[in-house]
Amino acid sequence: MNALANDQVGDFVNQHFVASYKKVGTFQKAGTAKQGGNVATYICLPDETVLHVIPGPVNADAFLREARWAVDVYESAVMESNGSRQALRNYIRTAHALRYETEHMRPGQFDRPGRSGRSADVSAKEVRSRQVRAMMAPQSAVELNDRMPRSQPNGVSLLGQGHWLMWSDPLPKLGTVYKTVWTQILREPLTDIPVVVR
Amino acid sequence: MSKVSLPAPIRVGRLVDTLSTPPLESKPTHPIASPGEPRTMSWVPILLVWGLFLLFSSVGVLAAAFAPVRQKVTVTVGLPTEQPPPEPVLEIGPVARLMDDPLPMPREVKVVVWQRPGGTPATAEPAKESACDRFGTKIDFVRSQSVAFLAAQADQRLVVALHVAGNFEDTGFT
Repeated sequence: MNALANDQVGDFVNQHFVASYKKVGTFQKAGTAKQGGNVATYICLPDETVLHVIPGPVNADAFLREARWAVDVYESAVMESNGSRQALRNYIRTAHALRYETEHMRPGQFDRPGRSGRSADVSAKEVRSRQVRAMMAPQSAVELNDRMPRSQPNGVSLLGQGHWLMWSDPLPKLGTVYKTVWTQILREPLTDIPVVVR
Repeated sequence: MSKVSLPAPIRVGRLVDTLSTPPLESKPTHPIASPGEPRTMSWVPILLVWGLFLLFSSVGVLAAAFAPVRQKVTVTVGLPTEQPPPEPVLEIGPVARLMDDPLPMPREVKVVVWQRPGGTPATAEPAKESACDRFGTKIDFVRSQSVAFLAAQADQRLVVALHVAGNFEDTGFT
């Protein structure tokens, strides 16, 4: 909620997006203490396909960075795809692979093909180093895809898992992917039960 | 014993053999079978053909009557004015039909949608008029996810969909 209360986040979201919300889970409340509860943010096209997912709560800077990145990538993908849906999917897929590799793949697995990253967040210095290398020596989509883990990377940060999910199945329908995000990435149960107050 | 003579016995067998049967009624019971009158059986095929002709011609007329008519739809958006916008007008075009068109279907439908000053056309209003709240944030939230996608289609924008645990409307339950 803190990220959504930020002025810059509010201005950017109100300018570029139509915002909505939906209750998919619940939590228990004992007095003022909350047990459980989570949030997942989806950036979607108007036809309900998901462009990007931000699993879990993030701060304002991270939310703004992800939202801007999604808008920029989508605009670039529209220009590059030239009306082809498959080309659009491939562009989005490669963009998620690049984000995963430069920001979330653990150092020991970086540049090693076919291995799964299992570390937590990569340091900011390491991220900058990878980004510089990616800019200096851009690699093909095939090379990037070959280095991506073949199964869901459990030890990676939530945002990294979101990038991996969007790489493994780019532009999915919101109705088909939200269960995976909520139950397998956030480890939360899907329920319509109201908030339990004790 | 009396001497009254008995009548002669009836010769039954002989009578049956020699009984002259009266001639059958030769008068025809149906005029068609009358040999003397002209034969009317020849009118049946003519009547059948005439009936079939009437049947098929009526079916053809009905098919032509219910055939789809190409319509021309014209949507006109009014320019912004300082005046309060009039009510949306639905103008039905000429309804005059040719003689071969039995049903009065309009050939042209003209829909006039007036635009409010500085706003979007009135047709896009339902999505925007849905309740928007901020719930303690800086973001205008549409209360329904499906309405948000409809509004995004109308405005050609992306959608931010938040899936939360708890009641988003109540900050204590989010």
